[in-house]
Amino acid sequence: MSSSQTTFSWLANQPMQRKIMMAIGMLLSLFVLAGLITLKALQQESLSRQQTSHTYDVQLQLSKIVQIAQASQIGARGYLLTQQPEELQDFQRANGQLAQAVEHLRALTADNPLQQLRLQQLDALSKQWQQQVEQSGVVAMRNIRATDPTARALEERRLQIDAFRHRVVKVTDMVALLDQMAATERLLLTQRNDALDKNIATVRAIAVASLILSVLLGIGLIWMTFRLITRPLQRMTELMTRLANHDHSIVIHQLHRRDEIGAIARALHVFKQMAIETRGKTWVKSSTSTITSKLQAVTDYRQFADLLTSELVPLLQAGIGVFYQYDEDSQRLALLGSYGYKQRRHIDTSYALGEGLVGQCAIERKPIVLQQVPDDYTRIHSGTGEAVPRSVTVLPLVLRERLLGVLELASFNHLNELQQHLLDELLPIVALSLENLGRALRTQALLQQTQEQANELRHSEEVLRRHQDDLTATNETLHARTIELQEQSQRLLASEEELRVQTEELQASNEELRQKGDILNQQKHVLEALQHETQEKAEELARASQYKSEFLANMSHELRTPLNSLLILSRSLADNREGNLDDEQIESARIIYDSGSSLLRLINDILDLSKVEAGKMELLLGDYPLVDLERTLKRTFNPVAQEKQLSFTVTIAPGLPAAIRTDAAKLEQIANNLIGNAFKFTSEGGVRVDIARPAATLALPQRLLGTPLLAIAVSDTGIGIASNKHNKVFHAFEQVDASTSRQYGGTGLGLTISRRIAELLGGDLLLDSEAGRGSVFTIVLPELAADTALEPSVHARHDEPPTSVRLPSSSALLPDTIDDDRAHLAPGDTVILIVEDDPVFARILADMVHRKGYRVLAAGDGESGLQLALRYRPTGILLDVMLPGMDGWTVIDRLKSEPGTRHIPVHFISAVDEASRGRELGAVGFLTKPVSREAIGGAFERLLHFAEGRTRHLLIVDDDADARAAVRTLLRHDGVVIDEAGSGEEALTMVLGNDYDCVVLDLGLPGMSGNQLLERLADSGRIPPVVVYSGRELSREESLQLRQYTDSIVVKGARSPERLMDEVSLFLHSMRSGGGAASVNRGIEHTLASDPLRDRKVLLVDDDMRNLFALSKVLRGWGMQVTMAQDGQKALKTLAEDGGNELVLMDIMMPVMDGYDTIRAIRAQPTFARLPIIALTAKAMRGDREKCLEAGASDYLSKPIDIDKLASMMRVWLHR
Amino acid sequence: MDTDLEDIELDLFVRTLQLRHGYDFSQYAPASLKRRVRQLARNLADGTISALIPRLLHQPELLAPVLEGLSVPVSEMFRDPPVFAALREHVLPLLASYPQINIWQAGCAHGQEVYSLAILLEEAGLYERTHIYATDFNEAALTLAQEGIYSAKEAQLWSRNYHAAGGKHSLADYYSARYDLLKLDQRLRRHVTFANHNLVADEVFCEAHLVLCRNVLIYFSNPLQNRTLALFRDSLVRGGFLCLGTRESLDFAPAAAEFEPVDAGLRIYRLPAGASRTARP
Repeated sequence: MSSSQTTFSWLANQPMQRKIMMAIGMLLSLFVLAGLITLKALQQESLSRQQTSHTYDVQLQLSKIVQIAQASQIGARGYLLTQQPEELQDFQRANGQLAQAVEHLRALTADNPLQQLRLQQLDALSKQWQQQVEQSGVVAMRNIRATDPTARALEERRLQIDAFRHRVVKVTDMVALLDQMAATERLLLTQRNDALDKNIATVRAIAVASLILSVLLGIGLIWMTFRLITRPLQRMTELMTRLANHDHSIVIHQLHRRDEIGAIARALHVFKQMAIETRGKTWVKSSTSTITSKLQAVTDYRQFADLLTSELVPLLQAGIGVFYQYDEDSQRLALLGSYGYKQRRHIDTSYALGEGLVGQCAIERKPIVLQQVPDDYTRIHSGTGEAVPRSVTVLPLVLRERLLGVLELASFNHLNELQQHLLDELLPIVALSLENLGRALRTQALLQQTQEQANELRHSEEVLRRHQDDLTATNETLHARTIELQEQSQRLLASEEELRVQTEELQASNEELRQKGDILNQQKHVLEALQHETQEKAEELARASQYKSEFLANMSHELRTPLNSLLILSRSLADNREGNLDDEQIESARIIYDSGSSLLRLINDILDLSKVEAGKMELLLGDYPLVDLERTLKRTFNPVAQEKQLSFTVTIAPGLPAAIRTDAAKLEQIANNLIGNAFKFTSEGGVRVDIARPAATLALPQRLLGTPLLAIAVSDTGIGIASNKHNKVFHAFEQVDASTSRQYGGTGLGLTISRRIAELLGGDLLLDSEAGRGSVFTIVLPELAADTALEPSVHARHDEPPTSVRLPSSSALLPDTIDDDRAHLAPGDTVILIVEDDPVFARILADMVHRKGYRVLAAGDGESGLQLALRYRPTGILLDVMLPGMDGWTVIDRLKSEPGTRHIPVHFISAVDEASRGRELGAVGFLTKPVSREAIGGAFERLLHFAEGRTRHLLIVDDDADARAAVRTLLRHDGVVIDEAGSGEEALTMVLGNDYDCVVLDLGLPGMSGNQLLERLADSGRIPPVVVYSGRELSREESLQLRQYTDSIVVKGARSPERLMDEVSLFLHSMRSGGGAASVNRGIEHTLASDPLRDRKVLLVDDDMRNLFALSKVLRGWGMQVTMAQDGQKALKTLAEDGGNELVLMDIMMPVMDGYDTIRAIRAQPTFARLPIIALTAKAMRGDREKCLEAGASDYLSKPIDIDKLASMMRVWLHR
Repeated sequence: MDTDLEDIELDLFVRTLQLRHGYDFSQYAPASLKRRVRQLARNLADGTISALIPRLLHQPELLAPVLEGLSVPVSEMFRDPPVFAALREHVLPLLASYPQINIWQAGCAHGQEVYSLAILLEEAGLYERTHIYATDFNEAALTLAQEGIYSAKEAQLWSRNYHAAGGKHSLADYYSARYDLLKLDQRLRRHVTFANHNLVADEVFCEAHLVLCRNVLIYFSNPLQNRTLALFRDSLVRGGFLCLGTRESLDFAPAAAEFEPVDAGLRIYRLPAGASRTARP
């Protein structure tokens, strides 16, 4: 190794790059040397070749010169022979060429002095030859002057011979010289070729030499490379492979070499160190993890200790390992497990802290290492022997400052670094594992405990389950029910609010009912209070009445006395015995007399009544035979019956007592009164008096039951009394109706007095009657009247008979009413009833009626007017509104509600200006006072027109005869004359020619359609009330069209006949103004020609047809031109198509497109940006106005519309 | 003492509502109103009515829930089937004689009755010439009514009602149910105008041949009932019909004097066909 080191000390230490460069450099220099030598040889060769070629050139030139010399000779000879100039020229030309050639050759052989010399000789020879030729030949020739050819020829011949003979220099000399030269050159060539050959040989030798040298050098280099590079690298690679195979025993040489090999060797050394270290660590790690993983699988402490020692001791190459566990509770270390340990007597299996090395280590928590162990310390046993360990190591097991145990190891060797490291690494993990094990064991213990408990539990569960099984069945049912309940409760929850709201509704309605109940209760209380009050009042009244009666009784005498004289005097005046009075005066006197008589009767009756009421009437009881009564009555009334041509009978039923005990005079008074009345109100038939027991049907008062009674019934066949008036007739000053007195007279006190007397006699007076069926007054008396022992009256009985006597027709009770013709009425008379409280105006009206030849009935107040109308059924009624008592509105209402009078036309003449109300109530006309005679005339016309003949004219327009017949059957009614028309044209003619009260119109007509007919009728101004009876449904537009003429439109259907009758009878009987025509002109009077509204064009938009037409009528009345639209879209369309609308009245609540949207749509068009739009809305809530204005309305008017306000608003917006 | 206090609170609440928002509830039946307001106070405030008042004053957005809470939108389709049967048998045939039929459903709540009416009319073949005005003062209710979407769980009851009212087909022909909801055929809405109308303040807006106002009057005091009936009277054509809730009657209302009973038990009334009525412009 050292030898090699020394051997390669210098070279080996060179870096590898340098080594390679050196090798390549040597090779390069060898090549360069060989190249240079070769180059040199080649140069030589080239030079040799050049010379050879030069020699050839010289030889060529030499031979050329020979030729030229020969040519020159030829030329000279030729000339001499021929004297031809051409020959001469050849000669001369050859001379020239010769000179040139010689010159050229001289140049070629400039390097060869020998040749140069020869050339000079040649040159001299040639010049000499030429001179010779020239002189002897040429010049001589020319100098021949002989013209004679022969001479000449001779001369020439001589010259020729001279020339040739005498010539010194010959061409042959020259050629010989040239040959010499050529020989020289040939020699030279041979020499040069030899040199060339020698050169080539040299080159060959050099090439071979360099080849051999190169091969040797290459071999040397390869060997050197192997020695210096490859082999060390191979060695390194081998080492690395071994290292990679974990062979850590490798020895690395050449560490000190300074080349790359050295660097690699050093790096490999480092790697080797690292590998050794890594293996140590890996060993530590793997040992650690092996032990750890094994420890983790351990399930108890002893196993743990055994495993720990058995694993660790071999690893540490120790002989004995002992593990003590620290028990915190007892503070002692207990032997837990060991390896290769044979227990000795003095070795405790348990140590306290600080006790022995183990205890000490436990306290210090640091490893303790003992090196020189005494012989009897402990021994390491094996099958082959035993020995004392040389080293003892005691290690604590600590985790988080907590001592877990102590491990003691005894070995022959000291622990090396790696083993120490392993211990360092392992012990904390072992500690951790130990603790984990402890924890796991504790957990296991707990688990076990838990499991035991669980077992117990399971056991008890078993028992329970058995119980449960029993319960399960029930439970399942319950569960199902629970689910059901849950669902129900969810449903309940969901509808809780709903329920609450419904409850609310229920509560509210209950409250409503309760409230109603309360109101009833209150009313009951009020009634009770009223009753009480009434009773008190009644008592008060009774007292007052008594005072009154007494007063009247006292007054009677005082009154009668002057009245008597008045009667007598007036009577005598009226008789006009002296004959000095004119008719008028007589009439006046008669009136005074009649009035006086009436007054007297009145006073008498009042006295009677007052006497009864004051209890001052005395009774004279005695037995009164019934036959006496019969006789008396017959005697009294037979003459009356004969006079009135009525029958009169008195019957006495069998089985009655012969006489009754009563006051005969009083009984007669009552009977007379009743029978008198009966005759008075009976114009045909008769009067009968039946004396019998009271009939079972008779409604006897309670007090009379149980006593034997007698009934004297007075029956007549007169006008009778309506059942609702039955009580009234018994009241003082009351008759069935006020008009009765006018026809029949009487004070109205008779029945009152009669009843009072009957009561006085212990009986009663009963009435059974119906209007128009006659009446039955029944006096009910006890057979034996109780002696009521009335105080004998202090006043004398009045003398006058109690029966009423016919009075003059003008009633004393209605002093303001004018005379009328009620007494002279005949059937077929046209009678006008005037109800008017102003007698002056009434008289004027009466005069006018009379002048027209009609009869007059007059009433000064509503009540009597109504009665007159009921009784006499006048042809027409002129009615005032402001009347005493019942006003005109009530009168007409009552007239219209009474079937008997509803057809009678009523015309108002009043100071009140409420024409529309009058018309609403069914009046045919309304005049406002003061009125002109012409206006009154018109009113009569109108009344008579409507009243005419009492028959109604009805026109049925339908193209189908069957349909007409059906309607005719439906509407056939007394007093209705029905005409039929089959076409529009026919109908038009008929309507224009007659006055129809109503037209029933089918729209679908051939020819002129129903609509056209209505249009034509409207144009003619004579449109009667129309009921449209349509066989098909109508569109909204069609309805709108028709509404101009009528609002009675009936679409045929199952229930339509019913409505058709309603509508038609409405026109026939209540005189409704038929649709538009009649009222269109209303209000026109109020607008002046200058009114800004006149002739202005307005668009009216409303879906409410009533409103649409009502408003349009008003607007037209103001002279405006009205276009109508039923909804927003139609309004927009109308605006777009029909320009010139100056104002829009816009309803807000409409279907399809409401007012807001419509206004916005209108405003969106620039044309209508400033078009006045007045919104009409039923909405009155806050913000509705703002909404209208926001939408773009110019102004706002809320419904119901105040017409005056509308007018002024429109005037503002239409102001020009 | 407590009730007195609450009466004062209620009074203040009603006046606040009127002064601040223009809604007049002073004419509502007090007992019912008090319960509704109490409920509102529980839902929207801390339980006392007076706590509700400042919120009502300063939070305009509270108006909608308050109105919603004050109205009692209880209804079902074909509620009280005999009433609808009577309408079908006795009223519609007479209405058929009018070329155009306007029906005013006053207080339409969530619209069930509107759709019931529409179905009734459709089946009677009258719907094409009918227009229904469905009004309520409660905007939220109107919106719901227009949607026509209801809980499907009511469908069974409604179907029973429908058949009891003499329905000719199946109610299912008129709705489609999905999930837990059913939506009524929107074609039924084609002749319905839903509009806000307050019976307390607003006026007549249409000429009606039939007015339905069921279970609304019970919440009103007598003067308000009278006003409302006068509105109906003025709105109706002569011979027009009025149908009230089965617990409501026309007694004690002077404005109702003109109505004649058609079926007093079912609260269907009619204006006399011959009575002379004219428009009130």
